Amino acid sequence: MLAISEMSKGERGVVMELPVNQDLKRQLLVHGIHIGGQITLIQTYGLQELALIGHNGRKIALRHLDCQQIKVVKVDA
Amino acid sequence: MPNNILLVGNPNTGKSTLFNQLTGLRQKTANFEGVTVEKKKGKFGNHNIIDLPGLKSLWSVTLDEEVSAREIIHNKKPDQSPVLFIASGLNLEENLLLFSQIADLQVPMALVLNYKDEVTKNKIQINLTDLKSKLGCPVFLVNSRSGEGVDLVRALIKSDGFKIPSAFARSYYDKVSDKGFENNYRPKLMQWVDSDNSVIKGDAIQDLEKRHLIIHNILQDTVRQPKELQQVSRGEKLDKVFLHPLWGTLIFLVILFLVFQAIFTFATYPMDWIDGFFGNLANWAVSTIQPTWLGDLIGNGIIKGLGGILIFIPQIAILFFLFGILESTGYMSRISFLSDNLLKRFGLSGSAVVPLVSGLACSIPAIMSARAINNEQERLAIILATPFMTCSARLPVYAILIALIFPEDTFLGIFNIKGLALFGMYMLGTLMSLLAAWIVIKFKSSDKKSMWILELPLYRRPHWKRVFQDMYLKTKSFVVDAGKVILLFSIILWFLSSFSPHSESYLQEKITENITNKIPEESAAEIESSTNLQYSYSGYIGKFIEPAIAPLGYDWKIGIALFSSFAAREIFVGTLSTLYSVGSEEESTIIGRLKAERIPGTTSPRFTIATCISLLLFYAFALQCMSTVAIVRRETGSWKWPAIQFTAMLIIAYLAALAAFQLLN
Repeated sequence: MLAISEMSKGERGVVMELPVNQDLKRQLLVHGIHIGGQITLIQTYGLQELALIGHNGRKIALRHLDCQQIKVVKVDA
Repeated sequence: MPNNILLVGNPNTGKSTLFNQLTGLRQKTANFEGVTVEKKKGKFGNHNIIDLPGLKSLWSVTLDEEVSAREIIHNKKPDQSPVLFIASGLNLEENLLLFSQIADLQVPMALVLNYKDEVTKNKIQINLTDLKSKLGCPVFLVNSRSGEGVDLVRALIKSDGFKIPSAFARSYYDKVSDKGFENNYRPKLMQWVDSDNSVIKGDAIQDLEKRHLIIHNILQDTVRQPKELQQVSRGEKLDKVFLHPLWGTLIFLVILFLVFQAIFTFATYPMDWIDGFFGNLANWAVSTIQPTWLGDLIGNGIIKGLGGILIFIPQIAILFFLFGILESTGYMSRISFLSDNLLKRFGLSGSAVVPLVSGLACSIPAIMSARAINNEQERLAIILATPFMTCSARLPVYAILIALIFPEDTFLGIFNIKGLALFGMYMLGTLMSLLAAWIVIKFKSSDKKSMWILELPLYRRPHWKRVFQDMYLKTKSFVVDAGKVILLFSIILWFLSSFSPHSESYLQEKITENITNKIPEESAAEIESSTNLQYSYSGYIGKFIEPAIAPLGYDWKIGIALFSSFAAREIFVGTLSTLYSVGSEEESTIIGRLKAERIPGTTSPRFTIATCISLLLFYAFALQCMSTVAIVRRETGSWKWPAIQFTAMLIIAYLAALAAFQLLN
């Protein structure tokens, strides 16, 4: 398992673990990010400390700190 | 037959476009009962279509979501309204989360899948028959922009074809009692929205997790889509540029800059025309209408006062039009993405961009949109800081003061100098807002972490009809709301400026005295009109406040305009227009009259660079809008914050104006 922040651009992963913080976890679930769901790391923005992930054809921006708390298992493209 | 129909859906699903398709322009905004956020209400036949603010889940996170959630959760028998649920056909899985929650409340529903054209273009296959049978309610695939398929929705409403959908996760909540099955989902959600929700946070998470699994299973054989949507791939190329830390920021600044250039460049001709038209109309009224006092009231009081604000319709319409384009293309969310890191330095998040940018149009909806911010401390900071943003009511004041001191020239042959000055004022307002927010966050520290997750909508071509419709409705609302106040103030000011507590003989004596002491450049007519104004009721009000404003470079006439504009800052222009038209016959345009104004007994202009800069700063920082004070009171639930905000902004405005005048004079 690795955190989204450790993924490379274009890599896909299945979400295995969501953050412990209940507010953040609820926000992610409301945005459709749930355990078992597949995500793609579209781009990381170092200067802006943000990451852009793809999920079911949508683009979701997350802060790097939050990305560190979402664990995934990589899947082949 | 039901009379109300709730239009519900996630944000960015084309809900407002469908609402416009169904209701046309027969719509109005209204307040919720007991709460404060706006909902849209429109007529379709004998039905009221109620467009609720978009939300993603009934386990609401923000205040505006809570308002919609509460309306849906409390929608019970016997007055239960059916729900017309609009979802994006591109992201059915996410949209069905909210649908499933409402379905479990046992409400008659219909599902409208939008963006039929994009669904086809992206080769997404939705088995509508299968979906309809699994959900247990009518399902339609439409294109709300072109209107394709909307006739079926109209027919459904007319025939009351809504159905209570099949249950999703209700079995987890239902209980068997003496009366049979009892739906316990609604009480759980009521507990969430109506009382302390911290105790059932875990329940909310469990509920969401269960629903995701159920929806995933439902859609497994019903929806087929390629791995990568074409739309997303196309958007990626644009996002590489628009979200780039350097190029994206530069493009954003250039867009903002061009917006303000356009405001001055394209508005010039229609503004000149309106100004000239009202000037001529007022002169005609004064010379034609009898008795003389009535002609003077209509010409110099009402027509010139109203003309003073109507002249700004072109600029305000252009501002709303350009913002409408930015919103409908999906670019506004990119601004939020770009700004998050900068705003983080001020204790804010990218969510703050929407209220801040909306504040460029009007503080009232901007402050209300702060409800979408999930952190209380950040929300308060935005409520208190947004009025520093340059709203459209400041635009007439800036436009007239900038026109008085800056030439018609261009910089580097292409940039309008007045446009540059206006851009500078907007930048100043933005910096002050950020600084104010930072101060509030510093003084009101909280342990709660600010969260920020942003869904970037797909890029879309502007929906021109909607952009023009919004521009028309917003400009009309500005003109009608401001016009009513300005009309009243124009009449009061005309009266106060045209009548005096002194007798006719006393005034004549003063006029003769002043004519004897006049300088050669002043005409007898000018002396007569300025003496009449000086000894009028408004002259005395102006004189009363003059000692406080003289260090800022203002005389009693500007004082009257300043005093009256504490109700609403746009009144300033109308007031100046009325005050400087009393007795002035040579100049018909507002700018001409103000430029011609001299300090009594001298040939020096009244509106010097120092005075105008001082006024610009005063108007940039002072909270001269009673509607904003009222909305801050409503949104914070006490008089404490609006009182602090009003006083602090007044002190900042006074000190900035004082410093500017003393340094430049």
